[in-house]
Amino acid sequence: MLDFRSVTKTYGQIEALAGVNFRISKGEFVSLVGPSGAGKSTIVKLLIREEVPTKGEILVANRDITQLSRWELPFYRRQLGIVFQDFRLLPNKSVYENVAFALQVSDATKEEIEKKVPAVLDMVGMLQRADNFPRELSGGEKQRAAIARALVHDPKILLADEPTGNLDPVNTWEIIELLFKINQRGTMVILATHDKEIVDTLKKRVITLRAGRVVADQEKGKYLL
Amino acid sequence: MFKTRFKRVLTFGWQGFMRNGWLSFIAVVTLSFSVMAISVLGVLNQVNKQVQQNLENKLDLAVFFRDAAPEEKVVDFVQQVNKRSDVREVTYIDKDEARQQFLEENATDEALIGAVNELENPFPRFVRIQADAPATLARLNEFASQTTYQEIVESTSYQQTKDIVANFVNTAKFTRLNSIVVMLFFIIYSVLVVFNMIRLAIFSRREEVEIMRVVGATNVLIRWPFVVEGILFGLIGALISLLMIWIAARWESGQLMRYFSITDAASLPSGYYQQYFGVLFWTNIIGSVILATTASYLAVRRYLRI
Repeated sequence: MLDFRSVTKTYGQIEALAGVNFRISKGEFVSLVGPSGAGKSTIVKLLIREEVPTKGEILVANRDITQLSRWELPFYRRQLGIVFQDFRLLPNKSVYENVAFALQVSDATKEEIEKKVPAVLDMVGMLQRADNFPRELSGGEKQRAAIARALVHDPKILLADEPTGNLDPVNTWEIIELLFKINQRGTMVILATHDKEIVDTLKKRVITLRAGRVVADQEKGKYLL
Repeated sequence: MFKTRFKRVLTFGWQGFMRNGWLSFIAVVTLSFSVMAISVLGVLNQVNKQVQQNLENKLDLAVFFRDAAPEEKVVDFVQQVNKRSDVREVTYIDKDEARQQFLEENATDEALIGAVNELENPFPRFVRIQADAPATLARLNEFASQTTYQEIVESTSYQQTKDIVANFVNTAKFTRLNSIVVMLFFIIYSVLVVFNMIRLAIFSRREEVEIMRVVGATNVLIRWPFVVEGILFGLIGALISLLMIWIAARWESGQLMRYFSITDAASLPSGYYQQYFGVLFWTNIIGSVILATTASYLAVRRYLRI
């Protein structure tokens, strides 16, 4: 389903990734761990095609996404759900509108939107906050809204880049439980984090990065560094 | 599908305009002031042209005939002048009409009228020639002064009006050139200010554009709502500009009536506003909408390149 083949990414003299190889199958839950600067966020950026690798191939559903044209990019991105540490909600849209936006961009009908958005908001526990704007929400609520937006179009892959980085412990575990629940529905979840406690508790596959290299890839792994 | 997309673009544009109230307000105000400055200069330029035209119409050359000149030669002279392509109008005044005109112009001066009435008609026949441009008057004077017509032409008014004509021609050239330069300067200045304002407004929302891209929005769905916002900036900016010009014209007219006792409504700024309303309305609307939408279109383009 997802295949990184000898992927290298350099920024000038700095090597952010050096010949990274790994495969992730459909429905897997994988944690990408490592200290700051290890290359976790670079992998996320490459996966959402915000960046292109200097060398190597990235196959998603047997398609090399490094070769996608500008016109194909929006259609590829609609197959992903993305959750960021800083939430990245549209500030001038309500929670409902933010979630609906992910469907509107793919030309979903009004009926489809009216059916799916309340359901997914209910799933993340944000139905009561549907009409609120991001500035009126707590950190945990913002992240739930972001997860609802990432999920509403039934993506094949959910990418979460440090989703708990700005949250307190209670909200952190609520978000992790939510990601776990999403994975149980069959969605591949890739969680980039440096939170040892989360990784150790999850008991799922862990890919460990250090200085742009994969130093360990363990089934039911632990935070090694 | 097109209908749904179109509706969504309009909705997102309207939401962006309303929910970024402060930025929209600043953009609209900047645009309306810029458009107003250009419009006022445009109207002043037009008024200036009209005033010059009116003055030009008043500049003419009078050719006075000798009393002894045979009538047929005078008629021939008038016909020759009439044939010239640089002559707009020729009016022949005979002795009686000349006398009558003098009496009417000096109706209040009883002593003068009494003196004229006692004499045999002292006024010569003459033609009043209006040229197509003030500069032509010199050529017409040369034509009337040539030796062929020395037998019938006694004098012309050119010597008295020569300096006025020369001054007028120079002033007209100078003011036309200056008003064009000032207009161009203001147009360039306004375009730069509006472009920069809209660029800053969109720059402050660049993160929104990035989020939209990451969520999978196509460039059409990202860019066109900003263009819709640009249309709204343009429309509202133009309407405010028209309203401000109207208020300024009314106020200015009041001042002119009060201090200069001008009573002719058509000669007042509010009269010009009414006269040029159609032109002002459409140039304001079309100009500011094109300006704002182009600025929005170009400003958002740089954030769509990944």
